[in-house]
Amino acid sequence: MALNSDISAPFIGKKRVINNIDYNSDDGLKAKQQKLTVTTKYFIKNSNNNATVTPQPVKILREHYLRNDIPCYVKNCSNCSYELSSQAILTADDIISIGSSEMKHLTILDTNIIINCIDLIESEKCFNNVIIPQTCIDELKNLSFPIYKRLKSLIGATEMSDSDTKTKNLTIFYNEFMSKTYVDRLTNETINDRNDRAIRKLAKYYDYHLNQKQNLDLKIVLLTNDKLNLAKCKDIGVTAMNVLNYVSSLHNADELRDLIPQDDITADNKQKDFASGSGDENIYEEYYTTSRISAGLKNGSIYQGNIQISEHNFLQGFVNVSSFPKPILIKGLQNLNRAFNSDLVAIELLPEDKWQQESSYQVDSEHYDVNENPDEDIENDDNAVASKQSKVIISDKQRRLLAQEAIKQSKNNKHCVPTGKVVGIIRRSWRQYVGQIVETSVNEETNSGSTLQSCFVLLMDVKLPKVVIKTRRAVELLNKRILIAVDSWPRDKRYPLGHLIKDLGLVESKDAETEALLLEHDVEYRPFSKKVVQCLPAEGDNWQCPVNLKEPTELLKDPLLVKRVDLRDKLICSIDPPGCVDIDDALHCKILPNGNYEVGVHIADVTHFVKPNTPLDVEGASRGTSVYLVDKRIDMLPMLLGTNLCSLKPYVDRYAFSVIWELDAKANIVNVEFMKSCIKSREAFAYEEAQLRIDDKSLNDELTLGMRNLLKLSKLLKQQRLDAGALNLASPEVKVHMDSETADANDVEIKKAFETNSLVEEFMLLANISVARKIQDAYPQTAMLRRHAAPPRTNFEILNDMLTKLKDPNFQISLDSSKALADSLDKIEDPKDPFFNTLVRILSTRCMMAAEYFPSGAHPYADYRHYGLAVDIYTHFTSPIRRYCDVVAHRQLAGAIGYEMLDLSHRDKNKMDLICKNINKRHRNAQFAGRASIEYYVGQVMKKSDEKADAKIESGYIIKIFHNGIQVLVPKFGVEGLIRLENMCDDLNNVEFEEDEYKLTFKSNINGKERSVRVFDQINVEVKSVVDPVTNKRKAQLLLK
Amino acid sequence: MSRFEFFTSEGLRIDGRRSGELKNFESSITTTSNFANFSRSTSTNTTYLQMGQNKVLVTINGPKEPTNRSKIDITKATLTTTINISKFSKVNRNTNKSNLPDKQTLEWEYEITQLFSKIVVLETYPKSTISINVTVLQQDGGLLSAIINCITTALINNSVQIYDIVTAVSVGIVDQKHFLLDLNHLEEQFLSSGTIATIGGSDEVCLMRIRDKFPLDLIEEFVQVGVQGCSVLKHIIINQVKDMNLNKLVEIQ
Repeated sequence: MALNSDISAPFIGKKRVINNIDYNSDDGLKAKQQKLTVTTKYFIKNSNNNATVTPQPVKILREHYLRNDIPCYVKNCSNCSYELSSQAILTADDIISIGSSEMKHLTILDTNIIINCIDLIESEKCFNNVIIPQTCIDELKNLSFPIYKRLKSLIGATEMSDSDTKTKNLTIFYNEFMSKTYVDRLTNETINDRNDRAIRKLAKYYDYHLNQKQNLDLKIVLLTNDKLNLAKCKDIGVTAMNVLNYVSSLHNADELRDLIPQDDITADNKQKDFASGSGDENIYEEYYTTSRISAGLKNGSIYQGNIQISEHNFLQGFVNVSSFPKPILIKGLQNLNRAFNSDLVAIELLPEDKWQQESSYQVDSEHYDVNENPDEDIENDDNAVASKQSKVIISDKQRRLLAQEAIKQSKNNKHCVPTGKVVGIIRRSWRQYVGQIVETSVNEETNSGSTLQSCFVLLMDVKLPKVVIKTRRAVELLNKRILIAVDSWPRDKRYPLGHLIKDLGLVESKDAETEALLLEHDVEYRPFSKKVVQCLPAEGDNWQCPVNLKEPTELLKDPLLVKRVDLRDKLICSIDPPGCVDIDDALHCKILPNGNYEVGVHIADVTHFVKPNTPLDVEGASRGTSVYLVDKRIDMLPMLLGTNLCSLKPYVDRYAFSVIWELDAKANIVNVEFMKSCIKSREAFAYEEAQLRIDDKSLNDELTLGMRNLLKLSKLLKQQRLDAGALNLASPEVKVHMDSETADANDVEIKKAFETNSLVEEFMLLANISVARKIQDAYPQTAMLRRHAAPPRTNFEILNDMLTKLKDPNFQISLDSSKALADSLDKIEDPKDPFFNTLVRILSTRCMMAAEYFPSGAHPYADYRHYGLAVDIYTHFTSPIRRYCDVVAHRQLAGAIGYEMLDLSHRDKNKMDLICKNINKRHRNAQFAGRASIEYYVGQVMKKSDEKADAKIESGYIIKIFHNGIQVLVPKFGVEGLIRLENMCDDLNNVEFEEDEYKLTFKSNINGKERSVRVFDQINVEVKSVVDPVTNKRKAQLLLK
Repeated sequence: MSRFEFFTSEGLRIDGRRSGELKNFESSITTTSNFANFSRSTSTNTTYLQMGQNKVLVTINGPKEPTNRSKIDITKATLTTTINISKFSKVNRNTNKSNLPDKQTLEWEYEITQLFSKIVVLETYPKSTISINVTVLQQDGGLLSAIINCITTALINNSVQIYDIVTAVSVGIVDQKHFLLDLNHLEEQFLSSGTIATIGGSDEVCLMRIRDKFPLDLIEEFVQVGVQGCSVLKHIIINQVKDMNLNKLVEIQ
């Protein structure tokens, strides 16, 4: 709800003192009487309640109660009393030097400081005793919700202060509710002025409260960047400073100065620029006003969507708009108009004659204009073009016609796509980025270590432009991974401005690279906080299941124990990858007297330990998933649970959530039951061990027989699944071997699969499906499910075209159903090349949609379908130790079988939506982080082998052709790389590129002969590990042989 | 999900109250018939009550002889309730053209009739009717509780015999652990909430109405908080009725 709209006329509330009686006391009348003053605030906002009627301004009235019992939170203060939960936390022992005197101080922040310097506030080196006025919090909430959330988490962090010497003490002072600090809005006063006045009054109050009343001798410093506010503070005798002055007056000023955002440094200069009236220097077009955009969105002349910058060309992006069959192309710096990847942007279509083809050039920011001087802005040719373009005025009506034309066009014409330009950014996706300083942009001579200099920072993500930062430590930071934040992108700057946050360490050092990788993918990797750890069972590692589930003393401790089933007599075992410590599933199988099989899947009972709404649960929900890197695992839940208490270790009693089926000889489900249980695993196998045991004919004990039956059943299940049309898609999965002593990467191999892999997999799928049905039945609106949508036809167009043109006209991937797709994939075989089929599978995997979590109410039943697995309903239930979705599914299943009441947050559609959104994002990030980690280590392995022997020649496949290079996949290492044209031939002008034929012809620089390559060609490439001189990224460089 | 924080860690609500504090509560009697346009009859006393931003007017007609002879009960009086929610009482003007009350109002009318049939000593007024006319001028959270409180006050002011005072209050739940008393509009919109009425400030609950999704495992505590709120409210009402009547006495003298 947008409640920040302007107030049309000020309202001076009628204040009345009312007596309110504290109802908690025994005798209401004699209780201490709390004096409350009531006033009314009102504001005008546009009502959007009835979509059909044009929005009308409505007046909203709210009561506002003013009180006297709000404490100041300063530790030495003896005048304030506290409610139960809160306590004085401001120690106020930071020293500030003003002039020559040094004083202890407290800081009060203004909204503009919080927005600009949130990184600085998060830093441990300063801002340790901070009062944030409620006025600012409210303003902040409306201005930037992400920053509000960051600030909130900071305030929360203080409560669990980890008993370090220095703690961060931030507190909100509810000045709006305090009768002494509340201010009425005056006639003709803007809301901003009123808020500033409120903050000043607060500073004054603190000064009076602490220094005049109690003589604590604390300096109250109000921080603001607003000049007017600063001046007014002087008038009323409040000490106020801007950030720069404040930081300079701290004792550790030198460390901190680089962290100040650029806005603040240049703020003064900028105003001079405006004064001189140099409007022509603007490189980018101005954004439309918010009202123009919202009007445009309504009448259909402007569209909004998330922009996706192409991976191959950072000067080109796509915006998916639901009313168009194809995404709209945004091409060129001018049209992208300062948009970052995945920003929510408002776009406008360009006139038809500007529509163009998707660029077939490969451009990345790494090698684009690297030698530019960051201080200068270079005029470009396309600048002039753009300014001409913008002068063409198109009416809204014409634009709508244009849109219809665009839809028609994109259906008929394959190549020319509608093109648009960004006219506004609705929501920035700015976060903290990892990058490194471009060496050429640093001037080492002039830099003596104290002067500010601008330099370029290249970000790890190739889809993003370079960022200009100003730092005094440029030379020191060379060759290091650094963390930066983007501050702004003014119209007159070619590149966005940012500032340094943290130095992560040397490039290619393992810790720096791992940290960079985790930061880049937004993975929370800090150790669990005290609050979280306190939620674990007090017994720690010595926790044990009760020996007798019916014992009265145990029942007293856990009344739910009655409902737990004792399954310790079942012959249960677990099968996992070698070296697995977090065992979350185990199996058993028994032949029933009637000839059917009883099959049980037992999943670690994580929800017994992770109760809803505890800090442990909140942390797990925000992490969403464990992240597996080559050399490291970032757990979702603390180690104690993951690898011990929940892990279904062999030979000990553990709590489990069991799914027990009765299957007939054809593996059809006769009956299914769910129960919380207590189990004892007989053995923990690795895949290979289990395989050996099953194959060993001499072993005929009951456990082995059970495993054989499981294998038999799993094969039947798999066949059923494949018959239904489940896809068998491939992606190159490699495993990096680590040296056990040095923990360096040694060797790379493609992962091997045993029959037992699929044994476990089949039963997990079956369990997931059964659980999904049960929870959907019990909670039709909020069940946690997972779906996989059918891929849109357009995704496969190019691949199909390549197949028919280049390989065989009969090759065609059918999209009629998942069954048809699976069958058509089977047919695509090249008799000469057994890998070709796999290659096509890899490529079609990339055309698929991503599977996603969703609450069942979000889609109709027909859309629950999991396309890849060919089942109508699916969820994740079997790995609660490492996925949060499974935790929710466990709770819902427990609710569905009447074990315990389901927590309200899992019954609320909105809350479930939020959970799903978060775990989808975390899941994706975890995958990317894992892949990036493998990529890094593959590079390290190759670096090693480079040192040992000469270049390796491997076979690779061309998967994409550009104007100026080819994309090659090397299956042996699972790496993909670009071979640039410059590295293949000398004469760059004598190159022929036939896009329709996916063919590139050039004169080879090896033997000087004419050579032409096409997509799907198998070629020999030399694989080398090279450090890119600009980005310092280690990459597999491929050379055509 | 809403961006509002309904209960901060410092224990403050969105409008500055603490969890157990009631809204501003005021009531007054008018004997003029200025409000005849709103209520469907003239003549008798009108009681005005303001509870937060709920502004409610109640007139009581009767006990009097019923117009419709077939409705007569020889042993006791019959009680009727009509609630008229004015179209301008909400932020968005009700655009519904028809003058018929909506479903919720009808339900409330029925419930209130049931409730007060047990509270008013109907046996004292055989062969007569008592009609309660409620007019809502402005709505805030906990409207039903405001209506019930206002009817109680009006009954006292009109000297209709009742067994005991009925007080009602709304209660909401934040994060399944904090209970907020006497909700405002915003809170009522986003929280699971309910209304509780008790007789004479005791722990005898005579009405409980729960809105949509409500966690049943919390209902015990919910009732407790409501009952406490009601008992406080009873004292406030008694005090205000005393004050009102004293003022009246002064005026007359």
